[in-house]
Amino acid sequence: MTIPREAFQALQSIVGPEWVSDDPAICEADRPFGRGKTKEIPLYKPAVSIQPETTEEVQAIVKICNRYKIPFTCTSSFGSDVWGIERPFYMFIDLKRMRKLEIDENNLYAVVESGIASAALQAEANKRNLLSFVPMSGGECSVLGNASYIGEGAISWKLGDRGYRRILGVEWVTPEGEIMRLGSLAMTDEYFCGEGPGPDLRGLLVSSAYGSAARKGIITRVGIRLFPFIKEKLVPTGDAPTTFLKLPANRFAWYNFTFPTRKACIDAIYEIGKCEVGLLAMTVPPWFVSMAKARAIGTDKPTGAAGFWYDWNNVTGPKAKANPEETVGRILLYGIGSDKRLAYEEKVLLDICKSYGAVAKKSKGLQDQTHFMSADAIVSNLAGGRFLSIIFFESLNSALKVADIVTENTKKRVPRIFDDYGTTNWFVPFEMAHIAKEESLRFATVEFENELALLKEDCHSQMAPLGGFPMLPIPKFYAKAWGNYPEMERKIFKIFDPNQLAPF
Amino acid sequence: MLDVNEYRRQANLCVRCSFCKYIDMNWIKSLRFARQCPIDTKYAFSLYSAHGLLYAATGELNGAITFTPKLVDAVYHCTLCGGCDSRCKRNLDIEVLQVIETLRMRYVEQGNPLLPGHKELVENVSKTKNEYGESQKTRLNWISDVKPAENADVVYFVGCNAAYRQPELARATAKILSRVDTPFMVLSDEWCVGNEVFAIGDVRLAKELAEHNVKAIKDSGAKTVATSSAECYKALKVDYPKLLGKSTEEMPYVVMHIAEFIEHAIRDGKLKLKKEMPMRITYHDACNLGRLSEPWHEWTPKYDGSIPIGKVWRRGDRGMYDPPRNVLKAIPGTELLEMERIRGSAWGVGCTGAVNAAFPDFALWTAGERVEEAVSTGAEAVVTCSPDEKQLLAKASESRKAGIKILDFVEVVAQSI
Repeated sequence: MTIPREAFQALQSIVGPEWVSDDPAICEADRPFGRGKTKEIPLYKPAVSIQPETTEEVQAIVKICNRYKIPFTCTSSFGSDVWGIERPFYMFIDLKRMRKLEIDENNLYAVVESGIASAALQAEANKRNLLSFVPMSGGECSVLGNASYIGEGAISWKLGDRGYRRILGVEWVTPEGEIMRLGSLAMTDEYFCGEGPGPDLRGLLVSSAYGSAARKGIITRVGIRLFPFIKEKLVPTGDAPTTFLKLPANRFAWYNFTFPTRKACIDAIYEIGKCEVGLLAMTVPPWFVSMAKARAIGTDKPTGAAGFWYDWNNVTGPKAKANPEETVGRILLYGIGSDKRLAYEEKVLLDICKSYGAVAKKSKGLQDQTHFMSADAIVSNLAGGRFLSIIFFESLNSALKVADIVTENTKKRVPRIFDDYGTTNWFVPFEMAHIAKEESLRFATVEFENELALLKEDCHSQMAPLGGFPMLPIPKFYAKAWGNYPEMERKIFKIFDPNQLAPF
Repeated sequence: MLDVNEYRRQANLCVRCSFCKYIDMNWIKSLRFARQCPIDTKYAFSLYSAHGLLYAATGELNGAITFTPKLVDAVYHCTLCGGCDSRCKRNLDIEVLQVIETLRMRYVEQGNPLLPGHKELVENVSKTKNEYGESQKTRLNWISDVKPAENADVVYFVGCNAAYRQPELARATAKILSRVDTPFMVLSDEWCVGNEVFAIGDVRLAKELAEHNVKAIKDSGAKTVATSSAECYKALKVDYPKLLGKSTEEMPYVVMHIAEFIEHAIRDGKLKLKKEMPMRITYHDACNLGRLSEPWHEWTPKYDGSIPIGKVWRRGDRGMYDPPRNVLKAIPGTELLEMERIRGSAWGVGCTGAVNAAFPDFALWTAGERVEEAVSTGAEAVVTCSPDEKQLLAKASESRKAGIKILDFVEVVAQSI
């Protein structure tokens, strides 16, 4: 027992004895990712794990934490490696039992609790001819957890950038254990609007810049925007684990474009954005092709890691090495209103790409594996066993600069780190190219995991002076650029978390 | 059992993405039936999930934890249904199921006490060669007026359930084999196939059963083993070679499920299902016949960097999903309605992993979830290829007052002949 007996008993009385445990095995299973091996931060395992089912239970738990000065953190779907608390004897509040979901079809929003997965919301939304977001990190991610953190998806190209911009009314348990209702929820029982009386406090709860899961308390329920969608259904096809959705041909068309240079591709994406064409658009690093082949289970070719390396070493890699400037863009056209809209989009797209010297290839099989329901970013672990994702949110032009820095730093570490011949950089523009995600995925075998950490540090240290805008900036590199922001933030947090029990 | 290095390697690859907790996401159709893992759905603590068990496996191996009561509870509540394993192989290719199986074997190997239900089961099998503690002398009582052949290429492996608890299923299977012109023998000394014993982690006894039954099959002269039990099918095809250090293709027999015999006979024009059965049915994919039934390929771990050299994957996409469906669709008047979680994404009903023996209430809850899913299709009956599952689903249907019939595949087919 590492928390006071009376505190433990109080927790039992809140959630019932079966939903709180200090069993070492229970706590071991909740240990943060990395299992204590990460050098950047020590990753302690929790002293107690608890599973509330309602906001009121969360509130009562947080009050117990304050009474007995027990640090706490929370999760709802795991998946991230950043929420480990940096001190021992803390409480792990797992919100996955909070699984209520309601959809307001007329007013285009859903009310979700913490334990609702993105793919589950998408399925329920699709049934009602509505569309939600499945983040690129995976359909298993909690809608609430992901949207309040980053929450972008491939369809952010058309439907908006960060997840937290889709968050409406919010039910929030502050770090002291007060329940706050924000937006329209402050005045009514409805979640339709994010703005409410007084200053908009959602900014204390969300944003991608940095922070930890429960730093400003625990969000237990939010309203989240939905979008109108076609009436035709996306049809699941194939046996797990190789599955896809068949897309209706009168509503969608996939195109791949091979541009002679990376710049031509980026310029074309700007033009496509100006014409408001497509549901999603992105570049496709060559190794994505090898990864797709590695996952083509059911063929007679090697699959899995062997399949990846076979293709990369013999087919795709040599091509990439011979012409590293060549860049493939991929776009999904979307005739939401009518098939005439689809035809219009197709014409505009082809005109633009032709003018930038691209060779167009329309996909024969109209299917989607990984953007509507599933999302397979985690596959990046497959080829090596460990991967590193360096993500910056930039203007598209600026993203090129980021990519170059990552490329140069990678070269120094080949072959300990996968050599992509300078072609890995993945640009995912949002809001019709207003902003872009530049995600550099690098991988290595488990034995060279540390090389990935060093690469990350090098890239960030060089990006900071250039004004890079990273996801999860490392304070030692970026703190200078923040000016007095951290100090002001600390003052605000002290108001909400006087006992400093949420992660810091 | 994974060797310790491979065990550590596989467990360490988990990045706790939680893919293992949901059915294949492209197949999710509702919030209600989105989840894949029964223990995760019911108990919620991370330990009660594949990712938690992999973390615990590493912790136990490293000495950070021991087999605490909670760990034992979680390890043995896991239904070993393999849903997590198939999900993980969409992206990470971790041998999730083998790690959990090995964790159980480590528990037994260390001399820890078996759970009461498991102890009884193991003792029964050890003493009487069947799960129920019945006399081995009565194993063939089901035969009645059935006349097996003296010599044939096919031997019918009956299984404990059909032999002792539901003899009508054994007789229906015999009737079908006769109608598809397949002379068959039965073993004079068939022992429990041992799938539950293996699942518990008692490798020694499981191997003894495997060796006996393989020898009996070999001695019979048969080249093909027919079975209508999903549990026997998987044990003979997958567990036995695994226990004996071979690949499935190296076994002295080929295992065929009764659905394959019928499908082939219909295809070849040898059998026509004539009798009309006007009924809306839904088919439940038994895990042992579906994602767990892919051939076993013995492999000694060898890597070039991250590439496993010479490994043949079992990812759950080549299970037996279509033959039973094709046969059911061939029955006149029968309408096959599909549940949301099907084929490789089927929900396990709690008959695998020896869960029903140790935690019958949990197994009943798990089966009840499946019954509710079946009811949501509008079907009047659920058809399954597992005698064990038929019994458990029937109990669940009754306890939830679902009003849906539970039928075994062979009884449906036998009626339509």
